[in-house]
Amino acid sequence: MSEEASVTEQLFIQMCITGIIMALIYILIALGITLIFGVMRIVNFVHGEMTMLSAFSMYYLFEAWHLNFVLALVLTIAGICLVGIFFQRYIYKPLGYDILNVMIIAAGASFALKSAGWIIFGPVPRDISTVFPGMLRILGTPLSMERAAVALICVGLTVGLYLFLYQTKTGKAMRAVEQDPEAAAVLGVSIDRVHAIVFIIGCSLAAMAGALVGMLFAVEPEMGSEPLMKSFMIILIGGMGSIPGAIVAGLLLGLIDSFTETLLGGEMAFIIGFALLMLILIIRPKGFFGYEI
Amino acid sequence: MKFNPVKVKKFSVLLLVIFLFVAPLLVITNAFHLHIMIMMCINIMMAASMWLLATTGLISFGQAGFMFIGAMTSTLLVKELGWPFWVCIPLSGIVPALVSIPVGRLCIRIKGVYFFLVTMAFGELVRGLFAYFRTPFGGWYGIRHIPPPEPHYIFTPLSKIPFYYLGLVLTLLTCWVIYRISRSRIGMTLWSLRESDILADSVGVNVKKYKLQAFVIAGFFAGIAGTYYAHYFCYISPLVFTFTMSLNTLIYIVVGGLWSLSGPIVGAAVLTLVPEFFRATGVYQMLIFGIILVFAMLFMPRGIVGLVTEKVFPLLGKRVNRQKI
Amino acid sequence: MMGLTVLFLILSVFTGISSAAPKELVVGCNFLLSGPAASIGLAMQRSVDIATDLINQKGFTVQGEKYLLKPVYFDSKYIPAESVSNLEKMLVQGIKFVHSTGSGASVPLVEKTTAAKVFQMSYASGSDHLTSPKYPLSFRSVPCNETAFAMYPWLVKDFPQLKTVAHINPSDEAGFTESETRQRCAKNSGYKTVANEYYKRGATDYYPVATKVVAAKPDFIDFGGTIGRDQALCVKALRELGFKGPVTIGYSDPLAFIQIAGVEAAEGAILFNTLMEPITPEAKKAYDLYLKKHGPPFLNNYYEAWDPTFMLVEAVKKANSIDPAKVAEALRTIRWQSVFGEMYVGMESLYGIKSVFCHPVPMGIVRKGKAVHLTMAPWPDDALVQKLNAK
Repeated sequence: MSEEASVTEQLFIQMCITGIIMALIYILIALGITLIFGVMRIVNFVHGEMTMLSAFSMYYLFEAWHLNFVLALVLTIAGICLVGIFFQRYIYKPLGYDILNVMIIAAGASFALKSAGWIIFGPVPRDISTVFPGMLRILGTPLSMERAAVALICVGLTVGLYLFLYQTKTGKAMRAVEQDPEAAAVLGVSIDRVHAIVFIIGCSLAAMAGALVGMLFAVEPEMGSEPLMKSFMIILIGGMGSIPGAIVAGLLLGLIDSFTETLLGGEMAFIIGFALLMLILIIRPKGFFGYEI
Repeated sequence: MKFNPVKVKKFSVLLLVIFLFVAPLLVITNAFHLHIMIMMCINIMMAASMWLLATTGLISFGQAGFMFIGAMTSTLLVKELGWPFWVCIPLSGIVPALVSIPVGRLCIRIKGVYFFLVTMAFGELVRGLFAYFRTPFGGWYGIRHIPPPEPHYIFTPLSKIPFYYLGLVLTLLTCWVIYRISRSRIGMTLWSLRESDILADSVGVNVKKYKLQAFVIAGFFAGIAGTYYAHYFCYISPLVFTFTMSLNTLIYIVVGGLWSLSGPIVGAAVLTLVPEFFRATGVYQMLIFGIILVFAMLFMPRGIVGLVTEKVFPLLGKRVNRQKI
Repeated sequence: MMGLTVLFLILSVFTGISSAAPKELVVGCNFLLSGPAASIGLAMQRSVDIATDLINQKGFTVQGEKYLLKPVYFDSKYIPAESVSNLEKMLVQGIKFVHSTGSGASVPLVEKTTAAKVFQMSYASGSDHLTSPKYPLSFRSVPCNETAFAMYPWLVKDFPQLKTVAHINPSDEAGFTESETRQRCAKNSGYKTVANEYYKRGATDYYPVATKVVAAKPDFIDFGGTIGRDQALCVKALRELGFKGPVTIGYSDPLAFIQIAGVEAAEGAILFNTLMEPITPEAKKAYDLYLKKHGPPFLNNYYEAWDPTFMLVEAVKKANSIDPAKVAEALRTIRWQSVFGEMYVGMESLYGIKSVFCHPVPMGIVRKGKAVHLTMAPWPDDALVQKLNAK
């Protein structure tokens, strides 16, 4: 009897942990996208591919060429930021940040990058060796060190982002542009500089996410797609441009996904996930804490 | 010589239609080419049906879902109940249209980017439901052995020309109907909604009602395109009607040009043809397609039709209607 | 004006396509070169390439004329419509032999290839959706769910301590057919199935399905139709959740599997129908040729397209004809020395027609991060197949 109870308990705790960890990873990606949307009102469809490029970069630098992990990470983030700035200046800006055109051009770029990934890296899946070996036990349930470490990193970055936005001058400038670009310009904020910084932050977050996902899971050209979709769902439920919204929605979605997938199977989870999404948006058309579009 | 723009336009369209009817007998006899034309018909139907909705500012990522519902309707009716295909064709437009009414009612008040997502969720929901219930919807297996239209001695699994004509007729019908709607009172009203919801509302336009009408029309024709797909490929499954298909439809519209019906038609036609040049390159096909998209948007932000209207027509002495731009 | 533009576009596009050069036997290869199973597609492409080079050194003779083999590659991207479009293009080019991968890509083709009297051999699950008397020209070039008939008797003999099994499969066509076959084999071999779970192919996280399976406490886990990195990630999740028993995995690339799952998690994994080391002289020859052309790492799925290419040419030679129906008949009578041992076309007792390429099934195991070959399990005879397949 107690054997059974503890199995159910274990299952429950496991589902919670899995849900939270997946949520944190998707939130990390979502934060980058929602930040870019909030300030620039464009949907950066290539975010998923940046995650993928970052993972491959980490694979080559750290795994294949045996660079120090932190050094590899720094180089990767720098590289991805360069890619991001390139996109922002030469691809999105010429379109005047029109949301529809940007979406299409980003879709095209993401097709191209994904294909380039297949061609350059080949389809053989790879993995980044874990930097955090070992297992823990939380409340009697096994948890791998690397998952715990990833969770902590995500939380740290989220807190860091929050502090940046609310405590630093640049962060405040970003929030000003988010709320009203014209007023911010009148007050002397350099809009171009803010746009660049937003992109840098967004891409850094994507790069970090790529390294973490590559470590926990596999590195392959297709890896950016599913996290991107999940992140979009999180952002839109939470409200575009809202960070607390992304966090709340992320945790909610992560837990629901985890529970429904484990208990009811992938198909049902799929259906329930989208049905819930529709429901939430119908009830609150701007998401939990969303902005006026 | 002064062109009468309306007469020239009508004449060239007529010429095109005649050409298309005669083509399989003279020019396009190759079975693979006919297959491409058939794919083009499907894509044009999807793009045209979504266009009207897009002009109101509502971009629906769920069109593949309605296409699936339409395909499933006629598939089940023909396969399970043995109804004739020709009876099922209008039904496979009506059923998704009926579904789109409550869905539209709930979703239309959701604005902008959120609308994309809620329609995408709907499309995926349709896929998920059809995938979950193996009977009668086929599950992830999908449904195989879908009979082609009657009479069976004309429509065989290998025949192309009958399907081509069927597709041509359906596409022309779709485009004609959408064109008439866009020119009618409904169409004009929808146009005004793109400019400004609020302004239209202030002059007493029932914004929601017109948007819903556009949504239902889009659903109807998507369903018809779906059933054409089903009875040509003889196989449907959740792997077919994905979000990517809806995204592709949007791409046809935007690359072709959002501002008139010729936009989605040209966009769908061109973007169906162009990848075929590169089919033999294998993996590079997607890469080239993506790069073409990027350059297309950079150099033709108003779409192909927009570019031609702005640049080519003035050279021909045709007066450009500034309003359209 | 718009009309004239479109007219012009269409006219300018439809110029002729050149058809295949004379005296070449063209094989249309509809492979998965992108998408979830792309690593298999690439390995197969390389395999067909190198096999073709070998065959074309001497060529082969049909009715007195010398022929060369010419493969033409298409990417089906795992999208059914793309697959059908590829087939249309092949048919127009007069191609009469099709080599295809992936059930999602191969099954939609079989109606058309049968109607067009075109030969089709597929590396795909999907049981009688591909191989049945309705499709006399369609073959399964690599045994898929049929390997269960070889694997279970071997397990009973070599791992007698196992009593209960759990099945994990992707939730699609391939996965469902594998699951059905394997559950039947398991039952008729004396195992109790304690769990039968499906996951969405290409999922990122495997903890949900792994958690459920571990909770059912099976002695071993049969991965059936799971492929690629899904296998490795799922095994990793299972080990992290505390599962210690053996796992049986097929269609696998041992190197990629060990790299992604990690040495610890991969320890003890049984890889069925996977040739871990080049045991036979034929395997050694194929292996060396690959390394010479492409260098390491060796893609293990390469073996899967190697022999079918040779079998096809042998059948053409025996039939002394390039008519697909005659070639198919000849194929059913051939015995070929493959990298696995003797290969022939069989499984009439299962499908009603000889349509699956059968051969001894290599069994391997991962020990200390290395792929180790254990033994060749014999291909079951008809009586054994009937017994294991009983409902």
